[in-house]
Amino acid sequence: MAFSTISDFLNMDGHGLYVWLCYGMGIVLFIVIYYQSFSQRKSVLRELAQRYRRQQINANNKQQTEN
Amino acid sequence: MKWTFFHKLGSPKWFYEISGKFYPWLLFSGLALMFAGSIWGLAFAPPDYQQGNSFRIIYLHVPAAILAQSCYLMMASAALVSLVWRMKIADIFISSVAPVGALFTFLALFTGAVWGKPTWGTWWVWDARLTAMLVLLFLYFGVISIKTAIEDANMAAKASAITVLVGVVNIPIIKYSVEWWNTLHQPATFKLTEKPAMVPEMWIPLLVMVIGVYCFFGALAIIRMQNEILLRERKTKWVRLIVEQSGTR
Repeated sequence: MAFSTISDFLNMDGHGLYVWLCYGMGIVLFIVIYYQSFSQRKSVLRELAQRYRRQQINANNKQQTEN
Repeated sequence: MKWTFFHKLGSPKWFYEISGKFYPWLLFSGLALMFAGSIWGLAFAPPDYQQGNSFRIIYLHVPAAILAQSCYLMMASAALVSLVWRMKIADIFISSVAPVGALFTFLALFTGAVWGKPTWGTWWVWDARLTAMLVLLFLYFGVISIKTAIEDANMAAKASAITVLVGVVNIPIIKYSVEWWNTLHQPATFKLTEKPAMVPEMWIPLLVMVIGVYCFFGALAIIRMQNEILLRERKTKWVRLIVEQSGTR
């Protein structure tokens, strides 16, 4: 352990603000990109499900008018 | 060598299935290594004799910068494959990871600026390394905007692949900028041919972070490539099956 107390660790000899700003930004960006990739999956699945349903309805209608 | 292997590799369906198996492992090891590496670097590594504790930013800055360049090189290899063999999966890779590469470049620039303030006394200087890194960010933006601006998929693939290949000259400029020009930026931390100039207590956590960030990148690349594959292969039966099985309405 390079620090003896928690406040030493947070303060980092006066450089705490810089260090924690960097790590804070890193955590935020990693969460944002992960969340964005994950919610992209959900929206792709939703879009495709709707598209397939529409296609199915169109196909059914066509069959009915032909009969 | 059997060429069937090469064709299989290019098949989106095969890639979708195989990458799904790697994904949880990559994500888990990426998160675990990044967690361990940052705790180790922040709390246990000894302070630098010149920079004190502000040097701990290195554990985020260097992995982000390595990934930013490495991602671009991977995109350049994919661009070559996409141009020569017209392999769909290579173009899917470029579209999927360009935003991730841009994010890492931004993170490297941001942490570099914040590290520069206590170390050099300024947030930003227009020196070679920093400027070349900013150019890299704009290259990523260029690729992303070409992908979104051109509607025809074949045209977009070609135009973005050429852009990526032209921009690759920037990578050696970033790498050697600290040797070719006098700059404020310190020389490379890791070199393949030499032992690191740091003590092991300092560079081992850095190595852990670099490997962790690579794994995390791999996991992100897989989710994003799978998203892109589902969209592009929407007319196939297997994608339809996946969508139906997911139970999404």
